[in-house]
Amino acid sequence: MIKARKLTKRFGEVEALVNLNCNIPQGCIYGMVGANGAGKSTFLRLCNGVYQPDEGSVSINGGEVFDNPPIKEHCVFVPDELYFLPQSNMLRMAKLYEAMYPRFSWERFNELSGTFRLDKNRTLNTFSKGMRRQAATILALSSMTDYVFFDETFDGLDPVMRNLVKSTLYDDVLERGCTAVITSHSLRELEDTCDQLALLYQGGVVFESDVQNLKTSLFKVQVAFSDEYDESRFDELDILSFTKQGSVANMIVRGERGRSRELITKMDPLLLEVLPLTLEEVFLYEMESLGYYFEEPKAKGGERT
Amino acid sequence: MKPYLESVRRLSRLGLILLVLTTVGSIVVAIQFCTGASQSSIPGLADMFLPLMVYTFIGGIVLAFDGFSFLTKRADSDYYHSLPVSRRGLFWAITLAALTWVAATVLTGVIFTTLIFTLSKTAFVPLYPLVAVPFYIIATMLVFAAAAIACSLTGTLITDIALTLIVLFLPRFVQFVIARGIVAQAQIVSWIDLPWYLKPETNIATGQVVVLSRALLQNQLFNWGNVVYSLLLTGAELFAACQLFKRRHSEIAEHGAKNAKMQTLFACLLVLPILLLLASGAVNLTRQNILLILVIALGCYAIYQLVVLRKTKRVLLSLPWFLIPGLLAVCLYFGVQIAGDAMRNDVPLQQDVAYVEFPGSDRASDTVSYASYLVSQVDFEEEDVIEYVLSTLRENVDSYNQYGYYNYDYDNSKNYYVTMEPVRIVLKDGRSIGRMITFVNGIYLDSVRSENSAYAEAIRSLPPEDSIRYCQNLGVYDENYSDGDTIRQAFYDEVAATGYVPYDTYVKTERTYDRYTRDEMQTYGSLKLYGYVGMIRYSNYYSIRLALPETCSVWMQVQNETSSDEHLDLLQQICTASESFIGEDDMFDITFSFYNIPMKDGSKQSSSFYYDKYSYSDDSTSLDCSDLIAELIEILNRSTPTTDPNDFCVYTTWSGRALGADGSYIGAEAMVYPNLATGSDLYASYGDVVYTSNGSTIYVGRNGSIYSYNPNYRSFTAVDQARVIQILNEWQDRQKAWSYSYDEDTDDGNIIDEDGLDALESSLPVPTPTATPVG
Repeated sequence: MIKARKLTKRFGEVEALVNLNCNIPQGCIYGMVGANGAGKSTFLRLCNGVYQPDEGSVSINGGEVFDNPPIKEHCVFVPDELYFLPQSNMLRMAKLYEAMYPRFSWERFNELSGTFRLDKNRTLNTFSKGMRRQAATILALSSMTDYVFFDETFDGLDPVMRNLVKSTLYDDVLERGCTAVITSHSLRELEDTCDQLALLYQGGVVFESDVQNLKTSLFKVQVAFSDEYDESRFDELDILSFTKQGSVANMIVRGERGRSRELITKMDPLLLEVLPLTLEEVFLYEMESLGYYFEEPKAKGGERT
Repeated sequence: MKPYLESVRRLSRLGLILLVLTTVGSIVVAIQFCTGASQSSIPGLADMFLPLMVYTFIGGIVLAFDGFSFLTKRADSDYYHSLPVSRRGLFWAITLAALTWVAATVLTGVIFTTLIFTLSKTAFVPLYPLVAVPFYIIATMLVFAAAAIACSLTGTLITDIALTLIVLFLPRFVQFVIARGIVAQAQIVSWIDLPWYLKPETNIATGQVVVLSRALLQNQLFNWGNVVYSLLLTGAELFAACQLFKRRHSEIAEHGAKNAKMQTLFACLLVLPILLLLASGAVNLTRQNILLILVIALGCYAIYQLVVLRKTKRVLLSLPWFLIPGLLAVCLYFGVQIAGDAMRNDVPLQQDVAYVEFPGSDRASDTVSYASYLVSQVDFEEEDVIEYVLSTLRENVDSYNQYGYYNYDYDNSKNYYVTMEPVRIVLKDGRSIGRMITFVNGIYLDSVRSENSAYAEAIRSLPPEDSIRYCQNLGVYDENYSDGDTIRQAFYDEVAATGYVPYDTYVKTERTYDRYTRDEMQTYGSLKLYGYVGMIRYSNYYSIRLALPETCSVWMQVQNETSSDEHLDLLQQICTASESFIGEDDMFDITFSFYNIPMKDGSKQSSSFYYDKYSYSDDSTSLDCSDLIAELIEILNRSTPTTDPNDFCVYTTWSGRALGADGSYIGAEAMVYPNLATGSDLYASYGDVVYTSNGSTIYVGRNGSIYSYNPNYRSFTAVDQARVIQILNEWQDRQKAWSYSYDEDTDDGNIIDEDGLDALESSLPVPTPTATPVG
């Protein structure tokens, strides 16, 4: 398990992370989404021992990460800006990984290289950007570590490749109990891949939840009545947002869909529609309910207005 | 292990390139030396392994920058710091990998150099390769350590370079400035006599740079003390670099320093050397120079800050910090003045002195004489010596304090010998001080030193025979070596038998103009010996004087046996032709070197007489001695070779060219033509100038001449001896009349006059012919 407690990291006067707390359980694909500058890359680098926290701590399997090789052996990091040895090919890089990661598997490496159809002998600086990302992913997954960190790695991959990587990750998670932490600035990129999602905003985790739970816990209800009504009619429901135009009301409701429909049906509405929300909408409404407004730039990380 | 192997592999590209280049350079330099013209010199360690000196700096910096290159790029830095290797482990993996390449390169260079010297049978000091290996490895790693510190502190290539230079050179530059100032201020302290903490050569990396400007420190550089000190320093710097690396924030990559304060600190350190020029005494302290130095320093400071801080406001805020290096420079200036004065005035009391040593005036030379090497190891505990040294030191100090230089009375009528010698005064408390002391009475110094039996033995000692590598410019592997060795053997035997002091440095004679030409001091030849004892290379030049008659005789014998070009018959013809030269290039010059000329005061002296004549010579402007010369040459033709150094004899060299009446050159078959000299920028005069088809200019010297520079020693019959003396007297009289610089007090015509000739004739020995006259 990855645990972050009051994690804070500053770069000069800029606070990249402020009092960040989160738990990333083992055996899941954990997605972290946030705008540019939210602190996603900083968090990943702290988890991999690249940075040292200014305050707080981040631990993996109970051990502090920074400058701790026994813990770091369990982690491999695929950054947003990739690094390869100059004039190297995949084979050369594999040797580097083999030297660094005790459980590196050549069998896995060859298998994945074949799956992704990458020439292991070709110089990496002749690869396209997407191919380089694939190569980095192959090397990371071949390291057979318990934790794999991808920093915006999937951004820019074509759908076919994304599916390929996703299925490979699933195999690892299922077979080895591996944990993958993926960051992105796009929810759509993570929606199909991750089973846990967290939203980072200005240096803190403002919201995290199971993806399935997110998708089903909130829904939109469109209802119309012949008489006058307001939000108070629906006191039995957990309403996050209520808007009314004429006789038609739109509500964002949290709860069990079937029960909510039943309750409203009893009120004999003229119109009743229960619609699913996209993840983006779920996030937006959840954040609003927590008191985060994107018009308030001073509210940071773990703070609420 | 794996990170280490991986680092070795990662450094292999540049490591191999440097290894190959260094090896090739070593081979080229070694071959150049071994096939060069200067065959009588044994190379110093630095000369022998010159490419390794270059490698010290290039290799150390390149390997460090390559090994730690990931620290200057964000992506690279993040990647390496994410690897499951401890920071300390990563640092030492890179360092040990670099050390592997350094060791391989140095070893390869040393092995190839040694191999070439050995196979070509060129003399070298066998200990040098053994010293060179650890020396250059440690020196290179010292440079590496400085670069590693820099890489650990900063995150861009420019700041890496700047900080490397600061870490490597600044402390030693400050030390150098202090040392230079003290040497200049004290005036009686040499660079070699500085206390160890001021000696620039203790750091064997930067010391190699210092000796380029202070050649006297060359031989001080390569000793085990410096190697051990540098090893400890390297270890300390690498440890510091490791600590900095462990604490380094990965986010420094692509930034000059952690923050603006650090950057300003670097900038201050960078300009400090410029400001220290004012404190070093290298720049005169005029208003103009001070202003110029300040402007340059400030300019460098501002430009550097502008590049790294990138914001004008920050640069302006950092400007006041420039005062700190300025103040440091001022403090250092005054500190050096005070320290120099204190050092000069440090004259110990006699009761505090245990003994004194004389390291030798040639200690700063590339090679030393064997005697000075032995004398330097003698401890003089004699009261007379210590008292004389201390009293002279006091006089020196008082004079420097009063006049700024050593001011002493110089009396021509006194017989003394002024000598400046390095002296090391060892105190009873273990401390020692070294001073350059001017002794006005060198003869007295020698006399008190001679009371020491070890000294007396040292100045009579000759190098061990098995240590000699070159004798008379011939190497031990040269097939002609044995010719010179005959002379050496006689010299060695006679010195041992007579107790003669063969080193002129330790033989102070009365100060007369004819010091080296009188009686036993007459010099017939010389013996040159080059070799080494341990790490010490010696070169000795011994004069073969009449004090060693056996050796002189052997010398004369070797000369006569190898004589080949006297051409006395041609000499006479050309001399006759010189009365009225036909050709416009005709010329004739001759030098008579006489030995054992009987003098009025009963002594015997050697002297040379020179004469020349050219076809364009104007008798009105040159001394006319042609009649005397002609007669001397006639006598010469009647003379016989001799190997008795006590004979009144002559050694004659001449050259000439004259057309005969038939239009051909006299002795044309014996004429020697000089080699053509080529070059497009030679100043061509006298001879013919030929332009070749490829545009170059060939200077063809004059036409050939007869050269006689390898004659016999020749002696005369009794009658001829008397006549020669008469001729020399006449020659001298004519010179007196002709010379404007004639000084009656000194040049008083010492050759025996005619009144004494009759008595001389009966007293002169009849020379014993030892060879048939040369025709």
